[in-house]
Amino acid sequence: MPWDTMMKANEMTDADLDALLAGARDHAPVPSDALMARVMVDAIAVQQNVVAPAAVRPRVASPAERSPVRWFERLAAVFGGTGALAGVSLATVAGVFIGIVQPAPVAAVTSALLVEMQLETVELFPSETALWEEAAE
Amino acid sequence: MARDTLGEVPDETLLVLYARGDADAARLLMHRLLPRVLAYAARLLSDRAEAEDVAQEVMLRLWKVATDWRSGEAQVATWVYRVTTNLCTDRLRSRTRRRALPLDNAPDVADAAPAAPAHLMETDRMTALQDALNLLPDRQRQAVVLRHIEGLTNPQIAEVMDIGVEAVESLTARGKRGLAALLAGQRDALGYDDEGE
Repeated sequence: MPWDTMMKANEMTDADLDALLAGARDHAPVPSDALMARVMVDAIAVQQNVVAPAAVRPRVASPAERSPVRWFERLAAVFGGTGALAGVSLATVAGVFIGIVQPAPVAAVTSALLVEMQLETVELFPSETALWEEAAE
Repeated sequence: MARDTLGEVPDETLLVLYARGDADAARLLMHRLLPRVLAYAARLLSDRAEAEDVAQEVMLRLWKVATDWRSGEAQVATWVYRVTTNLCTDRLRSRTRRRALPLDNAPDVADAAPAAPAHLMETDRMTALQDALNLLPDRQRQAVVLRHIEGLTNPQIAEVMDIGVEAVESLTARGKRGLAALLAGQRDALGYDDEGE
């Protein structure tokens, strides 16, 4: 057999190559127990450090839930804090109470003031009775 | 969820279950994906220890991305192959010179060992194939391994390598021609002379 024919006969055909590559699938490396253990350690660690904290992250209150607190805090800030706001509120309630109930000391003061006040009235229009009297005459 | 009920569950669902704290889902995903990642990395790197490091890193990145996984954006297996490709490419670039796979570092055989002569022949074939793969350009090697050893479709390979399907076809064709040229003259030595064509 000529040399070049012998060389040609010794070359890998497509079928040989396909068989060789297919055979490689059966010779794939198998993960060792140690590697699988390392991978699972990673999986659990990530699950505990990243996944779990995200799952139990504290719930953020909605704006509706937060609004009463913020409204009160803003009002207190206007009056200089919650202590000042409490004083203003107490004074308001006390003023309304005194105005309605009129305790004796307060009533004495107001009546004395009204007695001392002399009110003079001036009639700018003639009375209606006078007009009728003039008509009758 | 009990592990026996997870057998037919898609990878993506397992990843979501893992993100919700299901350790069984993680274990099943690992059993599905780790052998493929390790096999692919070992073919690209021709180094068992480095392939294990890459495989562990790929799985770690998968765990970390679980909570942010966007449903339907990519298949989990395709994503895993892509990350493996990128990590292996980085390692190959950092090597000062290409190393051949030593026999004592060859991948473990998955099945029971055949009888002695056939076992030796298979070892010779796998060594010759790996040596030839090592000499292919990186992109051709990736395409040939994904198509003819890992069994991915051309569209899947296109997604993994971030190229078009036509480019995949070109890479695999050139890769196979390259392998045939590198293995030329070894047909008899590899025992294909008496097996018929």
